This record gives sequence, structure tokens and C-alpha cells, in this order.
Amino acid sequence: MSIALALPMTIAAVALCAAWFIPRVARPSTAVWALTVSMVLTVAAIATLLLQLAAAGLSELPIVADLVGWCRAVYGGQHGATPVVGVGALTILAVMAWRSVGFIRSVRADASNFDGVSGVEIVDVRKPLAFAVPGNPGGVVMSRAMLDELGRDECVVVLAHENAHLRFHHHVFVNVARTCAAGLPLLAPFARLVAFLTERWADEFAAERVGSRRLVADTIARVALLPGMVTPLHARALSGSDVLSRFEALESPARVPARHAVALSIGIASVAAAGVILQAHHLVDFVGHSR
Amino acid sequence: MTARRALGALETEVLEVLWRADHPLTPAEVLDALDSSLAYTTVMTVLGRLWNKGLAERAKVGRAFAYSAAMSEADLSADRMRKALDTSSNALATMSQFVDGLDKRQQRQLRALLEKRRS
Repeated sequence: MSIALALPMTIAAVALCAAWFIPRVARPSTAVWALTVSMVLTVAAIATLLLQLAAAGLSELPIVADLVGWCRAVYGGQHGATPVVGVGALTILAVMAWRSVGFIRSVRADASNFDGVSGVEIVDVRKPLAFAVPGNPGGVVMSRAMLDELGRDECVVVLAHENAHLRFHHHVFVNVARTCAAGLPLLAPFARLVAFLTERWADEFAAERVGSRRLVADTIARVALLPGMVTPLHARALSGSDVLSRFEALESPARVPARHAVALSIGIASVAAAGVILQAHHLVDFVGHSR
Repeated sequence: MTARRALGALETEVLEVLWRADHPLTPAEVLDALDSSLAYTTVMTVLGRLWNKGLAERAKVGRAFAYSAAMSEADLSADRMRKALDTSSNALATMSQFVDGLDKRQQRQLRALLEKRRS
């Protein structure tokens, strides 16, 4: 196979790996954007590569080439894709699409449990609970147990944190990242990182609102140590919110918005995008080339 | 950013404003605190909803009502989420919770961090 074919995907993958380190220099909001965009571009680059392999491989079959009217000379013998490779690529692509669609369906089904939520809903559950429900109307669900345990200031922190999720549409980033990971399981750690960073983003927003990082850190610790909060490990496997890391991040001073970090993120995303465009251009060029 | 907002999200923001305030707020004051170009009537509607739910109290101040947060009086939501909130159900696990719990070892680590800070 020619190296040029895999180059865009490699570029996107390198950009993605670079994005992994963005959270160390940028604020959570910047990092969430950079990571999500890079993940989407990586998936796009791989999908276009597979499509191209499929087209190239299948074009080797005279019957397909004649049917579509492709000139057999295009890339003839150069790309090295055989019909077997073409079928393989198509199969992988189909599996990726199938898994992504399945994931989106399961997210929709889970979300429909909370369709009735409108604004602030207090529920009678023994466990201290608070979570945002995206959508329209959407809102925030809190349990009576949470309200009863927390003081007024702490309640403001919790509500501000959940408001940030709604306000900045965090569920979109998390779900896009998880859909990418469903299609391409190698991306799972990136999806978890995105989920964790949306929690950090919401923590930072809450700290700004109440004017105290310490209060947010204290509230997180308080809630995490409430009775009824001990969770077995397997139950948290899906979540990306590491309480200890969030606590420690809030204990250190806020990161000032750094221009170089934003520039770096945009640079990384642009490089990945260039990769995808190059790949898509190849694909269009190939498919569009008829006799 | 704040031009178009879902009604539910708006309600949670208004409640946050009431919780943060140290005195009862009139709709105009809530509108000011919301850093957005909402209609006065929208804020009135939202405050009315919060009052209906028992999440806010109100008292006449001049010709308008002033609202304050009422945490202990809040009505419990209807049972429509009962199934989803059942701890055996998977639905809850898919929502990103404020804090989703620690195992025993992590709790010890967190306590140690808090101790270290105090000393």
C-alpha cells in the first residue's frame, strides 16, 4: 500500500496524541474542545482511509469497475489494494458505523428516562444525588438527601456546577467523544479524559461564580465523603470524574487563560483537519474518476 | 451564549441567583444578575414556577414580589422518575453526577488530603 494513502490518518493520529497533553497547559474548556475536535477528525481520517481502500480494492474487480464506469488505469497496481483488502476495509467500516449507531441509540434510550425533567427537580432518594439533564426543557435533579446535608454555600456550588454542564452543553462533547470511542475502541481513554475535563470545566465555572476555589474543593470532598457515597469500582468504570484529581486541581491556583495553549490547540486541530481534507480529496479524486 | 436557553436551564440559573443572594430579590434584580437579555416576563414566569414548586418564597415589596430561595420547603417531584432513580437501574449510572462516589481506598486518600491541608 502506498504510504501516501495512510499519511493523513497518521497526521490525525499524531495530532490526537499531542492533544492528550493539552490539559496540562490549557484550561479545561480549551482542552475539551481540542480533544473532541481531534477525536472526530481522527475518526473521519480513518473512515475516509477505509472508504478509499474499499473503493480501490473493489475497483480491481472488473465487474465493479465496469459497473461504476471507473477507468481501470487509475492508481492501477500502484495502491496495492486487492479486492480482499477492499472487502476487509468495508467490513471494518461497517462494524465501526454499527457500533457508533448502537451507542447513539443507547444514549437516547437512557436519556428518555429523564424526559419529564423541567427545571429544578427535588427527588426523594436516600443517596446524595445531583445531576444535570440536558435537552429542552431539561434541568437539574437533586435528591432531598443532598439538600439536607449541604449548607447554603455548598448548594450554590453544586447548582453552579450543574448549571455549567447545561450552559456549555457538556453532554454534546461527552457524547460525541464516546460515539467516536464506540466506533474506534482505541479512543476510549480519550473519551474518558473528555468526560473528566467537562467536570473540571464545571468546577472552574462554579469556583468563579462563588469566588472561591477552596469552597468548591470542600464541597466536592464533603459530598464524596457523605454516607451512601461509597461506590464499588466497577460502577464507576464508565465515568470520567475522578474526585481526587478534581479536588487537587482546585487546591492549586487557577490556570490563567494562556494564549499559547489556545494557539497550540487550534494548531493541532488544523493539522488533523488538513489530514482529513487531504484524505477526502484523494477519495473524491478516485471515486470521481470515470472513463 | 445566553440568547437562547432551554427553559429548564434558565430555571436552574435563576434558582442559583436566588441561592447566592443574601436578601430577597425582585424580578428586576434577578434579571440584572442573569447577565443576559431576557424578557422581564420570562423571568416572572420562571420565578412563578419556582414558587409553585416550593423552591422559592415570596413577599410583597411595594408593588412587586421579592423572591428568596426556600430549600427546606421544596416539594418533591412526582414519581415519574422513580424507575430511573432506582439504584438497581442503569439509567442513573449514565448521568454524570456531581460526585459519583469513591471506593474505600480513595476515601482514605481524600481524608488524608484534607488532614494535610488543616495541619
